[in-house]
Amino acid sequence: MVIVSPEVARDLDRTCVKVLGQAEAVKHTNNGRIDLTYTGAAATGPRAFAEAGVGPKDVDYVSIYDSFTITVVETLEDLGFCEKGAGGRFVLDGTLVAPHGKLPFNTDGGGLCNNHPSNRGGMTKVIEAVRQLRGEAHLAVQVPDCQVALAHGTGGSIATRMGSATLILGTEDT
Amino acid sequence: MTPPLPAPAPARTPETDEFWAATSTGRLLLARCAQCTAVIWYPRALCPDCGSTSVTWIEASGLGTVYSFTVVHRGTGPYRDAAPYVVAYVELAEGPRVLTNLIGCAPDQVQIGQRVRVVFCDTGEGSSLYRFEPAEDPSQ
Repeated sequence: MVIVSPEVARDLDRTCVKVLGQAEAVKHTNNGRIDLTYTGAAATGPRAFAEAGVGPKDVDYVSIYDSFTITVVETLEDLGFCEKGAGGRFVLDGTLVAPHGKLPFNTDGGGLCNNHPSNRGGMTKVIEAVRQLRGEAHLAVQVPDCQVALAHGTGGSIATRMGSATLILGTEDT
Repeated sequence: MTPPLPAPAPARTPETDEFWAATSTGRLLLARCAQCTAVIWYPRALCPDCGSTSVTWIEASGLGTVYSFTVVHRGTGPYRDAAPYVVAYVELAEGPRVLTNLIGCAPDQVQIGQRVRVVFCDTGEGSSLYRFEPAEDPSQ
């Protein structure tokens, strides 16, 4: 991944995407009073959206780290794509299916079907988000007119000592 | 009927030696901050809430409830032949939620909120592993 200033980006012979907002957080064990019902995204989501000046309804595509089913469901809730506790119902009926679901998701196949490069799962999430914004995803799953994409990475011990990072990207026109 | 869970000896450190020594006599100790009274988990010499190094031991009641659990169907290492078995977080009456095993009941009978009490499984090396079993007859 190459990050450059807007001045440099102007002269590049390659479609670029913009970093609209980002945030990182670390969850800890809270002196043994662990809480499995939320993720670090509860902290990073609101901060990243605030910096980007957009909200969950503006997001056309999401890449979310998907180590386990519960990882995705809780992260979707904590990022504000649905009410807390409603994640299970939210993903029913093709919500996450690309290209025409309400919230197309992990169109590279995700960790199970495509990749899990050791501790670098977050990077692959960013790569597919960039492909979607450039219109370079696989034709079968390219989201039409994809303007805003969100990538979210989760690491560490899930729910007890996790690190979380949210990145919101937009096309050059956003 | 599955065989009893293995009880591999834990690694002991100067901070946890007294904790593990107590398990061998059937006592579950909890560290408590003498400064802010927080019950500390995992056991350590520094209070994670206020930073005080004035930490003492109290004996836990050994009672708690199941906060969450999962059933392992493919164990590894010493647990390779132990499946199915239950890994759980038990919320102690004193507050901390501790990672442990539930034993003495069928995995498909475990429920969140179930009342449990501590039992000790001898490692054969001067310590016991704290695990939990149902505190009341599930049929009642």
